[in-house]
Amino acid sequence: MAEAVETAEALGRELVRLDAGGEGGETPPAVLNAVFRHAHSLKGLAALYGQGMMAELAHAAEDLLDRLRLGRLRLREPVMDALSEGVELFHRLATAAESGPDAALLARSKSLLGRLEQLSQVPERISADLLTKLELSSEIRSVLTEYEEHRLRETLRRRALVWRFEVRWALEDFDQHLPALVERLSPMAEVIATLPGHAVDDPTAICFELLIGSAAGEERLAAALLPDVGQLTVVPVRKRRARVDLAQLAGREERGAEAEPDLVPAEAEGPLRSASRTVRVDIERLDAMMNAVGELRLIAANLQRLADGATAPGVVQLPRAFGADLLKDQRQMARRLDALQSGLLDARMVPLAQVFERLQRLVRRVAREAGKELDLVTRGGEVELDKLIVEELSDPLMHLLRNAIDHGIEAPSEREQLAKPRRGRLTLTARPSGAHVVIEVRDDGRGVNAARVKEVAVERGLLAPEQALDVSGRALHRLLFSPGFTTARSISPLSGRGVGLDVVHTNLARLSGVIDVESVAGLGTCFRLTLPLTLAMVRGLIVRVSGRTYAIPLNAVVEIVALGGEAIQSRAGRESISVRGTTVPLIRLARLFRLPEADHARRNVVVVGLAQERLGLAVDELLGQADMVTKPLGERLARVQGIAGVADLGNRRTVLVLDVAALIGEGLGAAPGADARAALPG
Amino acid sequence: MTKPATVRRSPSLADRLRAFRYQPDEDVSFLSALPPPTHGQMPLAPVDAELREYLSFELEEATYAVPLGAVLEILRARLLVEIPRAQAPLLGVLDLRGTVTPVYDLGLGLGLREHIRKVAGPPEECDPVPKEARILVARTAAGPAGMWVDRVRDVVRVAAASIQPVPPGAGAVVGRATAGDKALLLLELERVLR
Repeated sequence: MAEAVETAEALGRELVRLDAGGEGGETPPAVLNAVFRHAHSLKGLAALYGQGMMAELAHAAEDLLDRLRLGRLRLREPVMDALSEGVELFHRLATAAESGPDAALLARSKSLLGRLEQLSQVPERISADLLTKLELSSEIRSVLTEYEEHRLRETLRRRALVWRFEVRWALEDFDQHLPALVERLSPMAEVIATLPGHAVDDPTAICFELLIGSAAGEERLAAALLPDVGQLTVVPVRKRRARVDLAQLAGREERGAEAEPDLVPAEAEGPLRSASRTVRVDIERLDAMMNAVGELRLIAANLQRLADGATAPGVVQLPRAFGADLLKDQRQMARRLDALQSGLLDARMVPLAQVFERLQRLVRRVAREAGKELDLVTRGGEVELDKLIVEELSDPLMHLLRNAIDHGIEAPSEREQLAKPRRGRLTLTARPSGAHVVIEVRDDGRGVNAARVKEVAVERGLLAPEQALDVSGRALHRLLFSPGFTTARSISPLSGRGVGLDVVHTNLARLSGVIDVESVAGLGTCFRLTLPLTLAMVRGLIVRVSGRTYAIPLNAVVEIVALGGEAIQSRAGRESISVRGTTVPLIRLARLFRLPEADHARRNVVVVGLAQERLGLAVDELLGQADMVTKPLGERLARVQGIAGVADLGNRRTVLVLDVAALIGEGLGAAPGADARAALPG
Repeated sequence: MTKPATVRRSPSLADRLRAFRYQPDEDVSFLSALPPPTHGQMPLAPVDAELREYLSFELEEATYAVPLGAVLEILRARLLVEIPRAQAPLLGVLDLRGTVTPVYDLGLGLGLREHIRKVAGPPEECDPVPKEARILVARTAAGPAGMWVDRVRDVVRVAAASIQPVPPGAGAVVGRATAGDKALLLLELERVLR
């Protein structure tokens, strides 16, 4: 706990500085940020060492400080007192960590906790929003964080100016330029927001738009900015915007530098560093970087092949030492690539909470409109997924939630008659599962009405009447996702709005995800979505079928088995195999793709799976694994079935990447008439 | 990039060559015979005197032409990546610097051939690729698309007024014109590559 004591001490020190600075009514943001940071680390430490009371206290203090930081709360005496007492209690709790706190200490901590929480709840009257006076485009306004907005207001309140400018740096070293610029500006200006700039044609450059607050004159700012910035614009408060030519100004600056007084009290170094450590980067730019990494990977693979060839025994044209060097370089390059790739992948990951929060609000509205009473409980918002997937998820999730509210959850009176709690319960849960994330949308409503589903399916010609008797369980639920159900008026007698579950199914398939339903009549329904963590780069299993090469995304491969021809069972034109007691449908890729079939005594079967579904793919040969960046087929080939895209394996070899979700659909008969539809131009 | 010595080094010509992205071994001699381009002066001319630029090519003994501005590049024909269960006239796809580009059998699309040529998949199953065959990659609303043609001939200029209309129902052929002693069938790209 020594570290906790140290942190508590640092917290106390900064708090004293805050107190001293706060007298003038001005709360220095750098000090406040530092205090906030310490409280945050304290919370983490306490939680790590199982110090429950301390963690709770630190959490409450952090909340309070966050409100101060965002300007929602003014720093007044009771606030300061509570925080100071907090510091003292942190010390005591840390000292007593070994033996556990005694009753008196616990009681004091509890009472302080109450006070901190109470203080956090005091609403602060917010004066007329200064921000609206600032001529900022709605585009910019919409991406500013609450903290950034607060700092803009503060800047205006201090009667300083908000300036705006663009910088452009090379992609490889912008991470050095940006802090350097912040450093140069720190004596005279506060960098409030760093936003992605306009698109640049140059693929090796990156552009940022910066908003800074400063009371310094144009000349001083210009001098600090000059190497990087071409044009500086004041964001006008009331009047028109002024444009200043920096180069010209800098010339004037050299002549009259001393004359310019420093109007802004110099803030402590690194005003925003850890409170706002994120730089928003255009996702397309990250994509481009990912692609570059993908290409590098291919080069690495080529190098490997060269090295292998050169070190093979019997090679006389090249000295063996050459091969060894090559191999060494290749290994180093591969290691660096690994680091780069995982860094980039991390940068793309965002927590699901972003979507969950948006859904909360929508659910409340939809429930009110539908006259249902319900609670939405979300869990696992901290689970992270590729930004693109998270963005694409909000629509399907909303579809499912709306579906649950409209068709699943019963009206309050009906629920009471059924001896269910009056308020329905919707749960939205996310949990990681290997290379996938599983998201569940669960309701405690009436469940899927099997009889009604069969009726509609027969009506729509999705099911022959005699088949209807046999259908049950998963096969029945799969019917919900068939395109015919889109226009179905409704599965439930209650609502007239048929929500297109097939749309959800299609959206997910585009994200290489699958959906599954479980439902118990009277108890509720659960939709389970299984999604890959990222779409950017995957490993593929390279297989050969009738002289063609295809890649199967490795994250979908469950196992590989070799079978004799007698192991294939055939029933009603459909083939299946038995894999350790479980019957798995089998597709011969050669037959599916209408290619000449080779005759084998033993066949290699790649068992692929998504969620609970399994499918065996019979192939001729397994060629190995490769990293691949899959390029989509594009609009013209949107109707091609079973192919997710094209990947380059280096060596100018282009292979098709199989669409496992679609193939599983075909194997299970969920996509009727798939063969008939294929690639017509356009 | 090595260019044939006959190509004059005027900047506009260089631009034009770049725009076409000719392969180093591509025969570009016919371009050198062109008068200098007239872009920029055209809008001043009366509409019926307007000259339109077309790229002409041969397909099953007939000569066709498509608007030059829509042609992104001309590639030497090569074996394509096979798309399983593809329907005619799709031949296969090309990976064109990262963009997956479908290539169509134009002869089949225009009803000039009955059977689709086999130019995708393992080489031993494919038809030989004729030496003069080219793939014209064109810009369309739904993204770039390639057309397999027998031979690329020339860039021709046709006065708008001299284009003879064809009766409706002629499919993708939208006009006739003559260039020198050759009859040209003018194609509308969006219709050919529907």
